[in-house]
Amino acid sequence: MKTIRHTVFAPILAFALLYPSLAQTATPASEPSTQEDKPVRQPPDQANQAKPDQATPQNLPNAPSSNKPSLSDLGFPPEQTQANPKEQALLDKRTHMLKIHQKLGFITLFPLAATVVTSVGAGGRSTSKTARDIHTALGAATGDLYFTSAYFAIRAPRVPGTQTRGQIRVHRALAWVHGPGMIMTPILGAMAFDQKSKGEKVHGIAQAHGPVAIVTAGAYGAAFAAVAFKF
Amino acid sequence: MRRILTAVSLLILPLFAASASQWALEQSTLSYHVSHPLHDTMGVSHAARGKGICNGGQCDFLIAVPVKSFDSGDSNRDLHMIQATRGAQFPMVSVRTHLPESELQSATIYADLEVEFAGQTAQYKQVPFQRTTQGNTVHLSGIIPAKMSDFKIDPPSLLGIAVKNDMPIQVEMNWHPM
Repeated sequence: MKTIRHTVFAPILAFALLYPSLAQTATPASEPSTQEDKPVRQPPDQANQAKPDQATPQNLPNAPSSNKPSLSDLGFPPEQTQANPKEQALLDKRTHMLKIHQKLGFITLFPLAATVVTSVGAGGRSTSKTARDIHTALGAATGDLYFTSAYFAIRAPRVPGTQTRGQIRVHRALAWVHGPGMIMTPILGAMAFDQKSKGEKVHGIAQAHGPVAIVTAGAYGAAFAAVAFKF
Repeated sequence: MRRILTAVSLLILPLFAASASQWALEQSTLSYHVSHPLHDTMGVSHAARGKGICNGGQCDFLIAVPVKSFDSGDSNRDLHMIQATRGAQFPMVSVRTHLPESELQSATIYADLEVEFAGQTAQYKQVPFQRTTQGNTVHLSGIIPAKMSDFKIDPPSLLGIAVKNDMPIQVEMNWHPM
């Protein structure tokens, strides 16, 4: 019985006495301080392409220690830590399409502004056919660019479970103003153009061409500002 | 003999227990800052979790946060950030550091950080963290001088102008011993 006690207690005691020093040996001592005033940033470890949750200990400095906390210790749900290549592909496609939307939308601003400027010579009493033609051509170019840009915004894939927040809400809400406006303006403009070409005074619903165009251009400018500037 | 062994064990075991200690991240605010000529942006996350294990006078800390948990106040920008940082492919940002336990008592802790983000690993040496204590809680605050190029992130652009490469991360953490 005495021998059994010795056999059991002796290793426990030896382990208890030796463990702290063993742990200290297993955990490498920290690197000596560089004594530099400025923190030094090292270039990234380009070799380590592993996923964060799959990083192997040998890729990390001070790897030998077995007492290091791991991601699994932190209790994140698996769906938060697992890679989702499908979602990444969806996001890549979405960003690609929205970048085109952004570029075309920005370009559209120029013919839109020019159309507004040339409207001064196209409408009113003293107008010329040339001025009306230039105004019409610029308006058509604006419409083409606008609808192409809108296509990329509408067709960009949605990310499930995303709640729209922030200034993008204003940008989207304004589309309900300038979108119908971009449809109505050329229709009313064509009616006004036709009436003017016949030597008639613009009358009826065609009279709304100017006001609708101004509201549309204003909403479009505001939609641009909503994403370009922070309020 | 049995009594001696029991007495020695009772004396030694508490010492053994005291040599290992653990820390848990209680509360945190991590915020990244991105600068563009038209506006500055800050994305904030309170979802970080962390753990520290000290043994034999050496401590290892791990802090991790989901990329998706950062909120800049605009869902479109956040989705673009996740895309640009490959956040669906590499959903976690993790920060590891190894330091002597004695360093935890300093008013300013200089930590060598290893940051894994966007499928890349970058190391930042001697990043200063200010330490204050309130009761049992240790508050740490500091800035990680991260850059997008460190993680091979293409700087997003707005109207053809790219954001600055600098992406400093402000860290505010409350730790408590477990």
